[in-house]
Amino acid sequence: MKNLSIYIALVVASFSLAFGQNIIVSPIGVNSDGDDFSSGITLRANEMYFTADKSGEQTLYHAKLKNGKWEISEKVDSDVNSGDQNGSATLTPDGQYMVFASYEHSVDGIGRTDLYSARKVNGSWTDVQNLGLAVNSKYWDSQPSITSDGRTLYFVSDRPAASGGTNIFYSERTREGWSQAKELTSVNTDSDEMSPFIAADNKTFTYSSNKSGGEGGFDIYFAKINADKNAFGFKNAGAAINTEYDEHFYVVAANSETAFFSTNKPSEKANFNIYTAIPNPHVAEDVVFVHGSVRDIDDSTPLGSDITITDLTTGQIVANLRSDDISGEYSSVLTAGRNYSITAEKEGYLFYSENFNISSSITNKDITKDITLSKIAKGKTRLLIFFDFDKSTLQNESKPELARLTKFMNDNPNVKIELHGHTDDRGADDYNNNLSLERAKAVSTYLGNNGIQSGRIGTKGFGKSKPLIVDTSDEARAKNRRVELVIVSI
Amino acid sequence: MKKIVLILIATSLMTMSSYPQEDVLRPKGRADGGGSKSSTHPWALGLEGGLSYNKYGADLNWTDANGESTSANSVYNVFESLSGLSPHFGVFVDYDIDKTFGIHVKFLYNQFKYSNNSDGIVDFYDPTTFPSTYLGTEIVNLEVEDKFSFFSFDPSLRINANEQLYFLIGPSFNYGIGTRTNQFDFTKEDTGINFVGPNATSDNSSSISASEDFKSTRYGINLGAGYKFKVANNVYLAPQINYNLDISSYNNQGLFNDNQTLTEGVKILNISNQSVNQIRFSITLWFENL
Repeated sequence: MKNLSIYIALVVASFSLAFGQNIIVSPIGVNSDGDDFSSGITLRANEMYFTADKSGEQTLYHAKLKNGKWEISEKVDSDVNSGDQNGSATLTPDGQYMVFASYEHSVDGIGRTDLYSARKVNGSWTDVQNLGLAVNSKYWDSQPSITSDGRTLYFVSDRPAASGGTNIFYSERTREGWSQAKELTSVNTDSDEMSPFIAADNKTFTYSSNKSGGEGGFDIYFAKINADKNAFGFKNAGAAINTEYDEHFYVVAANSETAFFSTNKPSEKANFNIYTAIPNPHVAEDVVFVHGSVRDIDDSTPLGSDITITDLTTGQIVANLRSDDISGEYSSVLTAGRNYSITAEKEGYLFYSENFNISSSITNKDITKDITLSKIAKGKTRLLIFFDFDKSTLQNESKPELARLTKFMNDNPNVKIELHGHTDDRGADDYNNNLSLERAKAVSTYLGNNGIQSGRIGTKGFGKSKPLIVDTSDEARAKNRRVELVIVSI
Repeated sequence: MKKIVLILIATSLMTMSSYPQEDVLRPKGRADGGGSKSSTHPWALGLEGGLSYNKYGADLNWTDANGESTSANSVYNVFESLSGLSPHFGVFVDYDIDKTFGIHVKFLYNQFKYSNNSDGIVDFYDPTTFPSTYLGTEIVNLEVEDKFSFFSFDPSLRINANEQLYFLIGPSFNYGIGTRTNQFDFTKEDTGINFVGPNATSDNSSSISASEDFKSTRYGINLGAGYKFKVANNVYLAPQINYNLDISSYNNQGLFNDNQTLTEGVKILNISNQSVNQIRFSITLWFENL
């Protein structure tokens, strides 16, 4: 019987493979008789920022998925929608930073249509800024798509380029801001390439083009892109998605079978409309969601804070994001098989740091990590400081935390602190007392060498006398081995 | 004429106001989210062909022997109005300036042909006697046809009302090519008074043919409108109508000089303010995104 079941399963599987996937394309509920396009979705694909042209003016709208249906929540704030034509938004995974396009925006532009950024502050989109000369030109610059680490921005421009027509460009974030935009030469042709989209895995890429050989008009094309921005594996999305009309903005939801795209094929609603395609035939690699909320440790008030996630192996910051000012929630996308630190900072509060490992064999790709912050006045926080075994030498992985601590001391010049060293339960008391004190002093010396007055820093070694967790497991011992920052006075 | 021009301009201005300069989906010069010319592929080439309706008009002024204005029941009244159909065909080049405006230049073989016939009276004289003996007055039918061809160069401003409807306005330069032919055919009933002479083709018919190398240059104003239908990727079919207004004078134009006089007995016919206007009905084929 078991053999028969296996045989049947194999037959069904091969049948499916032989005849391919059945992709169901359906319009979503927010479509109108004007153009509706460019679905900038949040990480979990339960919120969308799309562009609608209801009366000759393209406007950015916010929609939410409620009980399986998309409904318009509100028009995005007027700070964003202050141009003659506004839209085509892309968001970072935390949903707190947006890049959008606008023609004749109230914030001065460089060219005709430019790219702008906006931040979400207290639930409102504000702080609109032009992305500047490195990205924008005096021509038409539009249709942005930002990577999940917020480090690369793809967009379209009709500026003069090596290839004809409209072309896809990219810019990378540096310490000085966005880098000078470069052509995505592995994708562009002498036809028009538009609507680039990069999925959360930062590899799966889609775009539209009216080059010959497609179904007609603009077609969606699939590709993969590597770290050198070379695209490969080009493929037309096929007749289930492309038509003789124009298709744009193919958006792949992370860890999901759902994709979104826009087309002006004839339908119940006129002009461009947004559709879902399920299952998405251009699969992106699953990513690990890390999310949680940031709250006040005393009264659980949600807090908006700056969150930094660092790859401890490379020392590279992999995500700079913000927790929402109103809900305190944050979310990010990380790669499995790495060791990370996460730090939350907010003015008036002690920063919080924690390290965590994401196993390469992780099955649950949804990690919740809630963070609590203490007000400076009576705060205490654990420092992510790493030492060589049985030594007080600071490891390289400690550098980001030490830099953060130095900055905190400089930003709060009246604060006096004590550094408390602790060990786990193993070894003699005297030895552990001395080791923990030496480790606290190592941190104090670092601060002194970086301009912090020694009179502001006290050091104590508690050895194994004050464990966080009374347990002998490796995990408990790792938590007990620590250096803590304690506010003495402000 | 003036009313037609004003209506065309007003219509294009009204429809232009609902056509955005550019937006986040379409750069300047693009009519839609795809399909038609992009701002960096503004060129198009095309073919044009069709039938023209030609209209010749003139002011006819009869005067008597004393120079007084009079009327005459003459076959030469046929010159008051002639019309006819003729073919035209050629190529065009089109360039997008932006989403609303463009340059559209036609190069056409453009034939003009018009004719008419009219009944009138003709006095018959015996040419063999001196002075000529009056034989009588007959009712004669005169059929006139004029035919000539131009190479037409029409550079126009194209004004897009929307993705499909466009208007053209510009000058028209027409350079004569080939041979111009005129045909005058007189016929009458058999009354005993006959046509005689080298042009007589029978007792009751006479025919005069003239041809000359047509080296005329004429100028006009061209107004047009077309409506595009997509037939394939970057290929459009557009029926088009053009009105060509003749603004040249007819001095030294051979048989149809302005202020030409014809004599009918003692009466003199002054022909002035001649014009040849044309309405062209065309089918155009556009190859875009070049």
